[in-house]
Amino acid sequence: MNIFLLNDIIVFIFIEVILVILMLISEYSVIKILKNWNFSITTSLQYSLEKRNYLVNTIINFTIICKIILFFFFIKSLSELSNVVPGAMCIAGVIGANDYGEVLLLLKIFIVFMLGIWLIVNRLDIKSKKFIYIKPKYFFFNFILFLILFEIFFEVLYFVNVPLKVPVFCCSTLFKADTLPFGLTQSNLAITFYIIFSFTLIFSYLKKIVLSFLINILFLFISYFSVTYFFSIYIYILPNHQCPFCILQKEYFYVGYFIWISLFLGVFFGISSYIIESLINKKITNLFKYSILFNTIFVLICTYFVVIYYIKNGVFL
Amino acid sequence: MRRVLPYIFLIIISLFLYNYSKDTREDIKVEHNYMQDAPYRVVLETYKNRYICNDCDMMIKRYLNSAQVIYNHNVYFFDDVGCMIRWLDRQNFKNKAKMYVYSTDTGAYIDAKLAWYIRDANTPLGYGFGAYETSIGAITSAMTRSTIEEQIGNFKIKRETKQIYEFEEIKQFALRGETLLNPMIKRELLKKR
Repeated sequence: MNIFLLNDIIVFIFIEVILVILMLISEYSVIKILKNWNFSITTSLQYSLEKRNYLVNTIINFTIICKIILFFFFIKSLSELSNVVPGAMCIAGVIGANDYGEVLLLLKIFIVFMLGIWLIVNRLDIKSKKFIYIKPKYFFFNFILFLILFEIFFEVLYFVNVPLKVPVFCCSTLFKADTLPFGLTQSNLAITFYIIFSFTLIFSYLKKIVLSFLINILFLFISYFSVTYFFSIYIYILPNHQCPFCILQKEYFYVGYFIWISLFLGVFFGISSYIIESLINKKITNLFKYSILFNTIFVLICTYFVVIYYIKNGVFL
Repeated sequence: MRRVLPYIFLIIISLFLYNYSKDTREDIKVEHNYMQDAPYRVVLETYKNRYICNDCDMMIKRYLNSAQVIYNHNVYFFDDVGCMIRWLDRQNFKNKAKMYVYSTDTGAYIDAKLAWYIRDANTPLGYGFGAYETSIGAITSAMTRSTIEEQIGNFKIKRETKQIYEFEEIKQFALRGETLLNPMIKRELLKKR
């Protein structure tokens, strides 16, 4: 059984299972609430449901915060796993080691975004005092739970199928591209990145909900490409090494965590307004300032390495 | 409409991107419908295609010592001569297929049965079979395994003593596991003379 490769993975799977069990327990109450909730009547059932609602909220809040922290633990344990898998030097090799890795990582990022949105909706719901968003909130929770069950299924499949004998490709091969997609060159890519960033700033400042949603998702993709193919070479100070994951390692002072966390937070606050609006039909615009803040931090960190390199050496790579 | 339209827009865009990435990048293990009676022209180092070895599932990163098998208008690719021999031995058409190896001295795909081989070349999977079109090329080939040099110390082989092999011999060695991957054989082949 390859699943018991490292202590980290045992701990990770164990906590995941506990959290899923907690969520399944609260799901029982959630279904009851969805079925019988009526805030305007004064029956004993309704009172017990309201009490139960607080309990469920607490449980789900706890599990969600745990899961968000666990996401970073997952990244760290993959980093550790790269010492075990032959040929893997960073997460890129470990993730690409079998067919489930990439799906799992994308699913995890998507779930973390959804969980964050659930937390915001929950806060609005509790603040409203009459629980006006309780039904969309719990329907949304059901959707997330469905995804999480898929996720744990994929996790087990992924860790069982990690190869230990066959060497895997790692970043030097995976991200080796002679031409970037859509015929972009590195300088074009950087210019596109800064243009889209300025658009995110403008739309966030003007509080355009739909436009901000679309441009932030575009910004997420462009940032991924820019960090991988343009900014990473300045972080490694190697013109041939292009990898979005090696920056998470100790040799680069864990700067990757700051880069990716600030990007995800910026994009999250940029898109959450629209998703919340489409869920509960309420316009929230106070999240855009966080989007501006985190996106700017992300761009500043990335730009820092390029500028420092240019100041030290007088040329670009 | 405002609640759904952006999502639909996103789905359309992602479908387009998925289609684009499928069109532009391809992992090739087998090339079908190849009608010519000559080695297939492999072009490495393009963004579009990656050739994958049929035996070890690794990407073919360089031409040297790569190989191909052509049978029934299908071309199968390999990154190492050892891979080709081991894979072909498991197939039921092993005696009917046409084999080509990339020769080190002339830089072209040549018939595997006409090539000369050495057993101590630096090959991707470490089987050590280096193919040469001319016997003199094989005899004068230098050892290239720097890590092994470090282990055993510097050595020089007299040109006359270097043993070269034919395909059938190499095949026997590969199937018996007597390659550079075997520590005893490795020591025997690379020891200081």
